[in-house]
Amino acid sequence: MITVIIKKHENSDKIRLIEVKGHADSAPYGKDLVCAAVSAVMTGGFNALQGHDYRFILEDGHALVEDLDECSDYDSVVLKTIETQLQTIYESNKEFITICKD
Amino acid sequence: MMFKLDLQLFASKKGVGSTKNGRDSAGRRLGAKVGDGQWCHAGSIIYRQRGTRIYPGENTKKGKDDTIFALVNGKVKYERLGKDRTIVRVVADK
Repeated sequence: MITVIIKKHENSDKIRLIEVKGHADSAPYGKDLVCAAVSAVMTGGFNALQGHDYRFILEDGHALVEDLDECSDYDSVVLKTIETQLQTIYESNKEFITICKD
Repeated sequence: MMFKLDLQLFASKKGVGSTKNGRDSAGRRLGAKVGDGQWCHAGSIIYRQRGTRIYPGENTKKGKDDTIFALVNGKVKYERLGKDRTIVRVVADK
């Protein structure tokens, strides 16, 4: 089960942390489509971000981006897109991915 | 700085297991060594088998490992015995 954690600023809808942990286990290694979708969203999203002061982690079963306090409007849209894509994957694969927002 | 895409980043590695099978013994080359109608020497092996798929008949004998061999020089003959048995015999040279 993949766990997605999205944290937002108290006073605004801006995202300040996205973390994805775990393994989808929807199919054997090499054929896991849910994992492939989440991997593509996180890798592409991280590459689209333009800010340089963020803290990134992208390794086996773990992806994280934080320190997003001074992110640009452009990066806010990218983060919102990542959130929407993960939500879209969740809608049709609820047994393999779960999303926690606070 | 660009992250390289690994499409199985969130896939579990558990699937990559190993099997405890994969062993087999060498073939024992059983079966007929002399065909029907072929000529054979006395003492030559006619049929290698496990158990009696083929029964020994005239001028043949069954060995300890169920191998059937000829007792005389002559021509080999495979014939039916009853409903579902096969017998092999050697027609001796004149």
